[in-house]
Amino acid sequence: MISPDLVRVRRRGERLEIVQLKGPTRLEAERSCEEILSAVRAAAGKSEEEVEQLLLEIPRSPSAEKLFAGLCKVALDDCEFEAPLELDAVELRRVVFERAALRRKDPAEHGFVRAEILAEASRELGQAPELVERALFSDLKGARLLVRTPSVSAPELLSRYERGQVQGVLLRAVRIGLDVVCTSPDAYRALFRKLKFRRLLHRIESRPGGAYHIEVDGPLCLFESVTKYGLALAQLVPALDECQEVRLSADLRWGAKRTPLKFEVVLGGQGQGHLASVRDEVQALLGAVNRPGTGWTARLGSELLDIPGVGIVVPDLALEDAAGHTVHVEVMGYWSREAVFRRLDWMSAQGQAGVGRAQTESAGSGKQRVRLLLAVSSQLRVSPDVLPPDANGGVYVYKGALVARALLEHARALVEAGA
Amino acid sequence: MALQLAFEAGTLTLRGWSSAASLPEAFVWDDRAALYRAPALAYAEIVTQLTRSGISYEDQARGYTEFAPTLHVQREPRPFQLEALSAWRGARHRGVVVLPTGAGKSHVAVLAIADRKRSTLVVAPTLDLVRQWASLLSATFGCEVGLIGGGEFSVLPLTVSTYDSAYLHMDRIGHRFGLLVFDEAHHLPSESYALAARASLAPFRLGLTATPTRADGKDALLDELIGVVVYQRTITELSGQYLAEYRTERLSVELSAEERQAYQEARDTYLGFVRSQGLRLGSPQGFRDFIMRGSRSEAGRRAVEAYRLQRSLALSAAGKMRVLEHLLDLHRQERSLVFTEDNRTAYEISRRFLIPVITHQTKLRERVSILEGLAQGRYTAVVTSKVLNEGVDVPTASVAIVLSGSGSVMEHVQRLGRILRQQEGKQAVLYELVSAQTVETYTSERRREHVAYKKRPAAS
Repeated sequence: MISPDLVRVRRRGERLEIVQLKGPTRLEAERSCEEILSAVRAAAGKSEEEVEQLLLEIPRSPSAEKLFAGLCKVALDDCEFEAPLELDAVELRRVVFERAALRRKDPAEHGFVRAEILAEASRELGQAPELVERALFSDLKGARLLVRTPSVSAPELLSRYERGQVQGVLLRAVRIGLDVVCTSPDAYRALFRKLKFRRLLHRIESRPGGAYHIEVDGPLCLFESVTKYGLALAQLVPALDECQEVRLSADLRWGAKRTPLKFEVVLGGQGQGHLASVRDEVQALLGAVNRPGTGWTARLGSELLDIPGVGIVVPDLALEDAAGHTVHVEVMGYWSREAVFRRLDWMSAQGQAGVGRAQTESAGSGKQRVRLLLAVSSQLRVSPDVLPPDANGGVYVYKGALVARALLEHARALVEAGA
Repeated sequence: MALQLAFEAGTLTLRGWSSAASLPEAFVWDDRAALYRAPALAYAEIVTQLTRSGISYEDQARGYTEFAPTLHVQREPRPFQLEALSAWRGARHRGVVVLPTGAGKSHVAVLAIADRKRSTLVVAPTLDLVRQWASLLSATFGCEVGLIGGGEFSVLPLTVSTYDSAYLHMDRIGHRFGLLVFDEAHHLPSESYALAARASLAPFRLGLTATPTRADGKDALLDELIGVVVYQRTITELSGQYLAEYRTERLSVELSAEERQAYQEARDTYLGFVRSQGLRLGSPQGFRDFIMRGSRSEAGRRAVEAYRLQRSLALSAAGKMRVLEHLLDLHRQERSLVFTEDNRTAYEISRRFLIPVITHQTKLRERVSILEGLAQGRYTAVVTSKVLNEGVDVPTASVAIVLSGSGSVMEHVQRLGRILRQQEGKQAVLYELVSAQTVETYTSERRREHVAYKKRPAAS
């Protein structure tokens, strides 16, 4: 991540923009990446201070100072440094400084002669004076030796820098708004898991085309614009990149005077595939349900269900029968039993309250009745009997693999029970 | 559903509110979580309003305990310490006490803890001070003390934290203390640290400082975060009777001929650029504009480098090292603290004169060992850049040598404070080494704008 003082930005009125790398600047940045990586790789075994000095010696234009410093920061973040000597520098200093103090205050001694003191201390330590001199501050950060050089290529370094710029700006964010489109429920889940993990709060509204608008900030933002959550917001960027497309807008407090500014950026589409893709078992179900003759159609889930006490639930599939009844399926697989039971508690409570069907506030679309069917692996040791007859959902416990026919029977039972 | 007041993430939440009664003013509706929310700071006010309105509620927020601290070490309070405590009590146990360093501010806090008998969090700016507070509280109350910061996280009825850690963790622990003590409270009104005070529900708050005034004027915020200044005494009022007698000496040091030439050339380069750009360094934006324009051209870059060089030559002139050597020899039977503006010079002094150095890179264990060594006489001097500026208690230190520093009055007064702890027969002296006919002369004038430096004429 790049600190806010190193990001290359410009103000346009009330907005802050990242200065894009293009034309000659991009060429210079690409060249700098090559040179920085080459210099750092050649400096293996040198001290951090020496590595930084070597980097400073790389020629660059005066106007590219900040760009260069940012690239160096990203490159050094990918390095590993270690303390150079096995000697205990703290103990060594204690011996040397105590001996020096004795010599200084004792009038019987012949004044303060540095070389003599070092020689005496070295004898006590059983080391050569030159080694003692060299090791005196060998534990400081700048004295650590470079033991692992960056593994990234020059284009990767530049790409990390550009993402680092966005994160650097978001460190000063007090709130972000996200217009999100995800092709995979897992990407939505990853995003909401991140929000919860970072202890952020959100409001959701649905938008046309299966998109959602999510406002994200922290509890204290209700009273004042604080950047306390800036780091947590910046740390969302990797999860946002897993989405298909995200339009991010942020309210910032920028610079020494914390000037209120707006910032916008488009993220997403950079997923590594593990979240953007659909799990094999869900893909198989999709194909099986959509075969002719099942009486049902299936599509990947895109609804976000905001369930009190549970949070955001993202079904994997939406099943629809010929009469237009929809059943949302969440494949719990090997999730925790706790997650399953939280959902079961909610289903039971809703049923007992006489609601009959899951009544959740589906994001942005007001109160909607939804039928939620949980597909749970038998390894989680959950019995469908725990649900009361009037619960507004169902549980399909499967052994080994999911079976489309069994799933549809549960879905049909759910529809009939509530018809 | 019963009315429930709870502490959540540095805020107070209210569930089960019926619209029939009037809502405490601090609450606002939070539609993100569908509940009422208020800053934790408003706890005392909310509880008072609910109680006065006769509204019953379940207080799930309050997580602090009452305990009966036993004073294992009885120390006769000085009259002004009792006056300070009384003034704080009179302000409903919220307020700031301003006393000079060495006068015994921490004993006022000890009296306040014994008075309130609530779980207490003491917040201090550095790890050295955290260690010092933990040691004081543990010895005074004979109990284990929790620590937050420097890799430690243990929360006990008496806990000490750094400001940084308080800012990071208060939204999780802000309900666990009934009394907050902010040491060196002038740090609190920064944007980040202020949140630590806002995210705590502690109804009782005590601020301690020798220098409440901030250059940015944000000290007014202390009224909201802690309370108003309830008691104040100055160095000159307490000097002699409760603080060590002291004198200050400003020593003017000439640059060598080579240094003078290099200084003048660098200064000409830097000021030439400033003039060519029409910059006015005296204006609030002036220096920032200089740095910004300095990044846009080769001439600008040279000017910024020249600026740094001339400043460095003034702050670290070779002549200062010779004077320092003389002073270390002159005071070799006493305990000296040497202050520098930057770490590089501090390490250079340590390496050259073989005296221990404390910077932000010094680990806690070594810091403790060095300060104990100084107290016990194993060391006669310690060099530091800024981390010992505040609060660290070295009663035996009687000599401060300011080799270089910023123009901050606060920093300079705090540095003087390090040697003012009273000991029998102690005569403290602060030397300020200033490079003659350089920009440092002006810096020195600025930082001496305090009553502590006006009491006795400088003997330069």
